[in-house]
Amino acid sequence: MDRNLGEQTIKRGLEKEGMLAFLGKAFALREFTLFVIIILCSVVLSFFTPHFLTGANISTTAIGLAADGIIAVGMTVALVLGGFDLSVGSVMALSGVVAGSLYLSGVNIWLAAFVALIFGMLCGLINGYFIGHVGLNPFITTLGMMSIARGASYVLTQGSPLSLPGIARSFKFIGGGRILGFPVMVLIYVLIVIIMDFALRRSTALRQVFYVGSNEKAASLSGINVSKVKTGVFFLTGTLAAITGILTLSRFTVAAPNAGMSAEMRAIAACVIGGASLSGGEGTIIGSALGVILLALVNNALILLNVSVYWQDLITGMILISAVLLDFFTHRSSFLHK
Amino acid sequence: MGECPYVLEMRRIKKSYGCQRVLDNINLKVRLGEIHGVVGKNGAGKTTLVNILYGAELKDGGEIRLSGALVDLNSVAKARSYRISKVHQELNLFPKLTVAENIFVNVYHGKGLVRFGMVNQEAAVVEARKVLSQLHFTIDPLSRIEDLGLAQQQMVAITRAMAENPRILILDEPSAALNEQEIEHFLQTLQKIRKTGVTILFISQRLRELKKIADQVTVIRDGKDMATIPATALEEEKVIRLMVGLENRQRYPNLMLPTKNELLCVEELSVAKILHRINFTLHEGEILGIAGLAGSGRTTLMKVLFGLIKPSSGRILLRGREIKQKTIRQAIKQGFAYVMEDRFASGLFTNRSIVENITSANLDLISKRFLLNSALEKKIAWRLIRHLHIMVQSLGQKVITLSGGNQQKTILARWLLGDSLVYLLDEPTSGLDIPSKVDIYNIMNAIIRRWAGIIMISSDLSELIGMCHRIIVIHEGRISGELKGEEATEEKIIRLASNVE
Repeated sequence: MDRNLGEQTIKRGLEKEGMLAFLGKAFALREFTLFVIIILCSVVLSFFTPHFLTGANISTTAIGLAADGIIAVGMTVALVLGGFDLSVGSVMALSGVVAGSLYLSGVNIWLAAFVALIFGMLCGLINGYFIGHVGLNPFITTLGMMSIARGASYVLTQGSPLSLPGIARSFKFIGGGRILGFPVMVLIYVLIVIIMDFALRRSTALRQVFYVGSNEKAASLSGINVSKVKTGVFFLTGTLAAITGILTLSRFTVAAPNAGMSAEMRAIAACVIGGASLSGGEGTIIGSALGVILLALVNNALILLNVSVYWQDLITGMILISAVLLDFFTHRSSFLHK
Repeated sequence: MGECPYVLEMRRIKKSYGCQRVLDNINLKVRLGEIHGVVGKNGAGKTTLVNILYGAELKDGGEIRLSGALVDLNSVAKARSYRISKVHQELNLFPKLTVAENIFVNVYHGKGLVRFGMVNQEAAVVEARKVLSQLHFTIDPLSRIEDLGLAQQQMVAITRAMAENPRILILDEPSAALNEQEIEHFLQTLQKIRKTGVTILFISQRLRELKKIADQVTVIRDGKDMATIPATALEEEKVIRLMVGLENRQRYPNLMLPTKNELLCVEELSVAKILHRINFTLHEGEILGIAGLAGSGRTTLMKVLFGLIKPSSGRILLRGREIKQKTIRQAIKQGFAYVMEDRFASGLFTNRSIVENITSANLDLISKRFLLNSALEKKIAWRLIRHLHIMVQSLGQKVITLSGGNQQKTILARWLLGDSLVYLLDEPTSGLDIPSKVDIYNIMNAIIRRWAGIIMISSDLSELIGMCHRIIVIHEGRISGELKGEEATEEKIIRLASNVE
């Protein structure tokens, strides 16, 4: 008898999933809440400053957030793994500097960019090897790599930005060009978000990241190669950081050793606002992208409203803590029942 | 007003979480100096009841009287001031600190161990040695908690509670993780504590030990007290009926299948210093029990079979062919499934959905060219959820929100999905209530109906005897005996496990 009851409950549950569930789920989702907040902010902003809804402002803001956005994509995966990568900002700078220096010594800029990409991947692999195979702590390992990559950038440039005169137009196009009026860099970012969001939801490889992040021991007992998964994730964050560095180089045609300063912190903040959890096993790329957009929007608002830039960090911090608090209060009820 | 015979009276206590009523006018009367048992299924409200007494949770209604006087226990500090102490189910010790530091964490001041705001370490160690020896525990006060075994950690937890000089000592399922021998020692400790005049409130799921040690036992169900029975009149079947209500299911649905082919054969298997020349076979459709004290090597044996530990010598044959388990992946491919003892630490992906928990070991079954087929994944998982009667509200439900029994079923579903051949189950029903245990037994029967084999470790001897066709007993890394299902008794197993002639 109690079996039948159970079946009925399950069936009812399944029916619910079919119909009303979509709306119900949407409201429960962090992504939806964020989306609504972003729309509300935009509406309010456009009242205060007519300048906000102009094409020029939107496209500048979008180009500006693309770099942080691509880094946040990698960071989301690292957070899902239950770790994070502090070295992404420095690796981004290093790849720009490597490409710039090679170009100045006469190498074709595309080849230089390719070598820079390899450098970024290598940094990622080294992180991954120490974390995944040796078993070092991700915080310490990537903190070290952060220092090494930043230091290398300063050494290569002697501390001052390298400007790259006469760079090929085709290379400038990826960071500064437009297709049908849309900035190429933004299009690249959108493409990365779409591909990676799909991959994180549907690919077998990235599903394993969720398992490892949720419970490493259980993942390993399920036959998942935990070291390989970890190495792969840090390879990914390094690669995306290098791509960001190359795009930024193309955009400004300057290789700055201090590029991407505290990009890792902005990325972690955006991911957490987007629903990723520092304890691993949770997070989506779309959520992180919305987090990046919200932070960029707030910064843009401050600029348009003539608020001093010094307020930016302060407000970013407040948004971050509010997001975590929101999480705490919405999940607390379920903790109480345990 | 004359002397009140009850040191503790809880009357018509009410407690709800949201709309869920956990305690429903429950009553509890405890006499001075007795050991009072409290039994009930998981979720019956035992822990909430004692948490209210300990001031860790606030009651919604009802009254608490200590020796007849009405008290308001609205915080842990208040409860402590009435000399109520508690040993928590999960012990709550500080793993990096020493035994002495753990014992006196709450009472440094009370014991006069503080000078000028600083702890007098030497005096604390001397004092710790004293309180430990009063309870006849031989533990070095200077060893760190993380270096101790579970049984010793528990001794420390009890010593800590006793150092608070309690009048009422609450023990919340203290014996769940102990083996038979450790339980025996633990029960002796309780007797000693009782002799000092402390009243003990003892929550347990093990009726047998309550019968041995308690004076009175209160059975609770669905937040109500069903009966308070003198332990001498305790009948196991009757109490179980009180605990679970009208349903009276058979405890051990033992299924005997005609013995078929040999499935697994272990020959002269040794692991340096832990296992010595282990030989046994497992047949298709057979449940083989492994008994032994904690530390006897039984868990190591499971780990060797699953490829987690390399044997120093010996062979493992699966269906007559020798196999080498180099990685977990290989072991799984060959058909091994391992359910470890601690569901949370090594089994569940708590913040992921039930579906993802079921498919984690068999992603290749549901993926094609690097991509998961989520429709197929849901279909496969749903089939198992129905087959094993896992109670879920939706397929996307996080596994943390399931009950313990349903969580364990989810882990078993994971291995049923891959059609494993050899199931290694380490304490598969520990911490579950009785109806959930029966569900797990039924799943085990479903497994052997597929002609797979099960090797099961359990500290619950009646469960081993009830479910296994054969039982191997391990003593200090050697097989000390083998018992056929019908000839096995708890006494024989204990004798073999502790190697008493």
